[in-house]
Order: sequence, then structure tokens, then C-alpha cells
Amino acid sequence: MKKARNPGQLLTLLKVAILVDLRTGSSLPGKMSRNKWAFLWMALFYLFIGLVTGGSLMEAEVTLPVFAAFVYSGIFLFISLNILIEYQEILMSPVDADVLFWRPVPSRTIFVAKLLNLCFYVTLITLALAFFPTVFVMFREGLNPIAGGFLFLCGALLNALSATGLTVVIYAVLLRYVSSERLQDILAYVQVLLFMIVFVGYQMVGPLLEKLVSGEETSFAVFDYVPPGWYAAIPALAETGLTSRVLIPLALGGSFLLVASWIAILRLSPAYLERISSVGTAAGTRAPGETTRRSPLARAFARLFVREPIRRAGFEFFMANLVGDRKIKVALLPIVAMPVAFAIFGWITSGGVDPYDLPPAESEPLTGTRFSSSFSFFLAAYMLCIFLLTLTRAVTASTSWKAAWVFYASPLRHFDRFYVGCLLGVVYGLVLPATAMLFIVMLFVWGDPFHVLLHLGVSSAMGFVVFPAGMLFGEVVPPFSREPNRGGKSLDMMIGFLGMPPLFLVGILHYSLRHNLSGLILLISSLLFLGWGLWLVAKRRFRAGIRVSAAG
Amino acid sequence: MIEAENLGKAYGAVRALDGVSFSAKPGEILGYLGPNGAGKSTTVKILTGLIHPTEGGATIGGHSIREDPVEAKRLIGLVPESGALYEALTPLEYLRFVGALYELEPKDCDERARGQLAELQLDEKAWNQRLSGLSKGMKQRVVIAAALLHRPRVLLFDEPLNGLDVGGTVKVKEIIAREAARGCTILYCSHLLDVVERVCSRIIILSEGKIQVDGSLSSILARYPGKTLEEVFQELTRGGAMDVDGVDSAEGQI
Repeated sequence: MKKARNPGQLLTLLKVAILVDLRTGSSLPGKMSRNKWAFLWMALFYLFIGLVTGGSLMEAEVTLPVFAAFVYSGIFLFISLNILIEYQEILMSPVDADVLFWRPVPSRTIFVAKLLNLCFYVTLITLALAFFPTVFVMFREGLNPIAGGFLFLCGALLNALSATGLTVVIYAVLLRYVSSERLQDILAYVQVLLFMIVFVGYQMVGPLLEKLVSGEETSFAVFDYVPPGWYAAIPALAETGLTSRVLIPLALGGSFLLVASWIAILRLSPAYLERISSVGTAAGTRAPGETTRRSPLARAFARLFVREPIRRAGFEFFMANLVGDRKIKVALLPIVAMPVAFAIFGWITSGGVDPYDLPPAESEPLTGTRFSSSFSFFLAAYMLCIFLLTLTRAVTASTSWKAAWVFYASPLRHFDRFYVGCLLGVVYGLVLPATAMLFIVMLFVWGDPFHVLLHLGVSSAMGFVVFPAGMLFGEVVPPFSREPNRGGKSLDMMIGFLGMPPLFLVGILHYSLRHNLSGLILLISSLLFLGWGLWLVAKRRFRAGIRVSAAG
Repeated sequence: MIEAENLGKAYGAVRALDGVSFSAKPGEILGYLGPNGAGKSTTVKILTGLIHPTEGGATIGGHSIREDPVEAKRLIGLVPESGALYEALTPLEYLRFVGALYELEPKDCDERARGQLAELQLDEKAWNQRLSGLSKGMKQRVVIAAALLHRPRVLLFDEPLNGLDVGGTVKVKEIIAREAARGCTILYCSHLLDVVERVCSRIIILSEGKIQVDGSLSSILARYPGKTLEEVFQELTRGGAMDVDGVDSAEGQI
């Protein structure tokens, strides 16, 4: 029997995987591919995030390990988030099966090559996120640029690899122990759950940073128990040398990484090929009893709002993809789940505080927990708006992008009508359930339906603005027919972040007008008016754009 | 060279394969026929180690595909139905990549790659163009070249003529005959009965996951006097397993 790993094969697999990733999105040598653009934007975005985080910490009176632990916490969450929304595809996608899995390459070699491919992106993102904090920490602490900076980056990388290890182990355990037929479904829900945990965790970074900068706290006990806190001991080596205060967290960090690697590589990788292939085969198998018929509610919605036949075809097409393609479900489920997670988070942390019962902001400014809690209720609704901003891009992407063949082989004369049907599917399948669930959670907390309606009215009107606004950017592509590209979802995330400031401004206006009924109604009306104008522009762009694509 | 013993595969409540047994010797070209969903691709996936059967097992050149997958796979060349490739690479880059996975010497691999592409009549200008920019037929030629590159002892073809023009089709048939003459065992899955009739030395017809008939073309036609292979195929695959005089459905042997 041959050895379980082959360094030559490993290097070949890694080299080709990266080459394919960088080239995808362009059929012409020398032309900048879509993936390369996505990487470039992503790197700039993460450099900016690092600049803001590092810059904010420069003001805080904290020790080097606390500075490092804080920066590393942000990196840990960002890496986990990136793997969950995008790079898990490297490990979990069955598309390599026909090209690769029947070649004489051991399962473990392919798994390790994929892991290294993942680590390549993790390293790039980490370097971008840690660049400015490293520069700042060297100035702030007066560290030796080579040893100090190097140790800070090393800590950041090991911390990022821990985040990777933890996520990979979760995926590998699911892959190993859940049946192929159920895996895609279980994966969808676990992924959304992890996404919610990581995202809500990231929301806590802001208030904690505020406490450090204001001097309210100088450190947090939680750093003793989490990997970012352990790896923060590495840059501390430059200041203190190898002491017992540094040795224990280092041992914990090293053990964590070793255990994660041992579970993933030695325990779970031998069955990797067979499991991934089974998932690919089982994904197309409809479970007994699973029906393709629309629910009575969907049929009623279609009868009321989607009567025109081409629009109806678009509606049915979107709903069939949402229900039938588990990967699409995984990609779009956060749109429903995240706002609800925020509302629940706000409810738990506030104990049910109603921000409308709080005195007007000008007479008693809100601070601390009360502010954070009431802010979560607002953020829950605006989160939906952020998703809507990138939804046009999200519904064009598909792992198989097989729909492209259908659309380009037989272009429809009224593609814009078909597209509007798809968008109505988005409204029915995603936006209405998300809003309804938010309504239920908030009604449970506040108990006054009118109150909740008014609260959601402003954010819904804002959604009516951002949805067409999102359609004004990027390519005009029919639904589920865009070739998937590495970095595409990170780009969506960046667009979402860029959309935050204007949404935040509307949110502040919403909050300050919360005791002024006529002001709120005026705000809602203005947003609806603006949204309608943007919708007309977006519709014209899509009508012209998709005709060009179909003709091409 | 190929030994499949009582292969069964279930996807939940759906049985894709049910007690399929056959063997194929070196130099044999085995036509593997069946309507859509009969279990042809599932058999190929099991033989290439992509999925494990729920019952039974298979060996390639004496190596169990489950117990000794790397050695078994080393003997296999596959032309899959979907013709999957890394389309961001050029044909030469792709073949070098495949050669590296089989641990061929780079110089030897390069020579073989150029030889295969020339034999399959892929225009030399296309050798260094991205696969994403090539036609379906050109891509299929690269897929076939990649399957032959390491000189496999077992070749599995799943609809290999998809997208090929007349010249390409003739060339592939020539290659199949030559590889068989060299001692290679060939499993040929197709819907094109006329091609199977001309190319294959033995035929298996599969329906609803079970072997309906297994034998040479002449022995099969002898059991159905006055009928063509197409008519026999239609009769055997219309209502699932049928009792045919002289055919043992359970064993799948005439």
C-alpha cells in the first residue's frame, strides 16, 4: 500500500487550485479576472478594517497583550465569518469529483491540499487585517520592528489558523457523522447558526472597544479562555521574554491548534473523498415525500401579485431554486435568520426594554447596556436592509450556474418581466418571512402591534430604497446564472459594510423621531418616494441590460 | 481486470443498483447499456471509488476499490459523462497537472500530452488557450487525452462521443480498438446502440438497477430471433426485469 500523503501531488493540487481561483472569471490570458478584482477589493477592505481597529486602540490605555488580544479577537471573528460565508466551499464542494477524486491521490492528500488552499486565503486576509495594527503596535510600544512586528504577525496568523481549525473540525465532524442525504440540510442550519453566533459576537466588539478607549476597563477576563487571548502572549514575548505568564497561554494556544489539526487531518480526512462524492450524488436525490408543489400561501400570493405569465414563470423559477437547491438555500437563509438573531439578541441583553418608552434622546442621552439593547432592535430591522443591498448579486450566483445555459440558449423576449417575477419570489420567499419573524419577536417583547408596525415601517421603507439601489451596481445577470467566483461573497460583504453609514444615519433619524408620529410617517413617505424613483431607474437598467446579455 | 460482485446502492428509499455482478477481462470491450436512471453512472462511480456501494464490492486489477483505492485508481482512466475539467487552465497545463497526479516524469508527461492532443486532432493553436474558451468537442478531446495519458489498464467511458464531430468520433473508435488490442479492459456506457454494436465485444443491458442481459451481440440476438439490438433493448428496459428464455436475471448471465 502506498503512503497516505504524497508531497509532489500535494504541491501540484495546491498550485493548480490557486491558479484556477485566480484565473476564474476571465477566458483571456492577461486580462484581469473577476476573481483578482474581488481579491484586490477584499484586501483593501480588510486593510481599512485593520486601520480603524488599530487606530481606535491607539487611544486606549491598555497593555500590549490586551491590545493584541483585541485585534486578534476581531481577526478570529472575521476569519470565521469568511470561512462560513465563502471559503467553506473549498472543502465542501463536490465539483472536483469528476476531475480529481478518481485519480490515484489519497483522500488525506486531497483534504490537506484543500486545507492549505483555505489557509492561503486565511493568510492573505489575516495579513491585510493585521498590517496596520502591527505598524501601530510597533510605534506605540516602541518595539523592535523586526522581532516585535514579526511576533505580532505570527500571533495573528496562529490565531487565524485556530479559527480555521475550529471551523474545519465542525465541518469535518458533520461530514463524517451525518448521512449524505441529510448533510446538506443539516449543514445549512448549522452554518446559519454559526453565522449568527459569529456575527452577534462581532457586534460585541464595538461596545467592548468603547470600554477600553474610555478607560472603563483595561482588560477582559474572557481573554484568558479564548484563542485570541492565548496567542496575544506571542507579541508579549518581545517585551517580557519567556515567563510563566506567557508560557501558559502559549501552551494552551499550541495545544488547541494541535488538537484541531489532529482531529481534522488524522481522524476525519481518510473518508473525505467518499463522503464529499456521496454528498454530491445525494444532493440531487429528492427525499421521499418531498413535494414540488407550492404551498397554498405561495399560490395565493402568486394569484394576487404575479398574474402575468412571464412574471409568474420568474416567480416559480425563483421559488423552485430556493426550495430545491440546498446550496441556494444556505446562501440565502441568513437573510431571514440574521435579523431575527439580532432581535433575539436585543431582547436578551435588554431584558425586553422598549426604546420607544425611553425618554427622548435630547433630554437623557442613552448610554451603556440600554443603548446597546435598544440599538439591537433597530439593527435587526436595518440588517435586513443590508442584505437587500446585496441581494441582487446574491440571487445571480449559483454553484452550478446551470441556469446560464437555459437563459443564454433560449433568451426570453421580456426578460425584465421574468426578472420582476424572480424579485417577487424574493419578496415572498425571503423578505416577508424575515419581516414576519421580526414582527413576532418584537410583538412578544413589546406587546403593542401598532408600535411594532411603525418600527418596522421605517426599515421596510428603507428596504424599498436599498433594494433598487443595489440593482444599480454591478453586472446585469439573470438569476442563478453567474459563474461563482472566489472572493465574490466577500465583495458582497464589503458592499454591505459600505451601505452601513447611510443606513445608520436613517436609523439615527428613526430613533430620534421615535416619539414623533407625524415625523415617522413623513420619513416613511419620503423613503417610499425615493425608493419608487430608484426602482424606475433600476428597472430601465435591467430591461436594457438583460436584453444585451441575452442577445450576446 | 474488472470484477464487480453483487453491487447494490441505495439513495434513501431509491435503489439505484441491485445485485449487479459482472467481470471483464483484459482486451474486452464491454458495452454497458441502459435507459436514463438504470444505474450506469452509479456503477462507474462505484468502480472509480467516487462512492461506496451499500452492498457488494469491486476490484480493479485485483485491488479492492474500497480497501486499496489508490492502487486500483492508478489502473483506471475515466472519461466522465459531464466532461469536467478545470476550465481556467489550458489543455497542456491541464494534462501536465493530470500527469503530475500520476507521478509521471515532467518531460515524459509533456511528450505524451502533445502526442495525445495531436492524435485526437486538437488544433495546435488551442493547446495554449484557456479551456473555457474552447468548444465542447475540443474540451471532450482534452478529457479523453487526460484519461489516456498514464496508459491505463482499465478504461471507463461514459458517453465519450458527446460533442465530438465525425472525425473525432472515428478517431475515438480507433483509439478504443487500439487500447483493447493492447490489453486494456474497456467499459463503454452509452445510449448510442449502433456505436455499441460496432465497437463492443460484449454487452450488458441494465434496467432499474438490475442486469437484464449479459452476453456477446450475436448470443443476445440469437435469443431474440428477427430483432435488432434496439428492439431487444426496448423490450428489456420497458418493464424492468423480465424473464427471458435462456437469460438468468438474477445472475445476469446468458
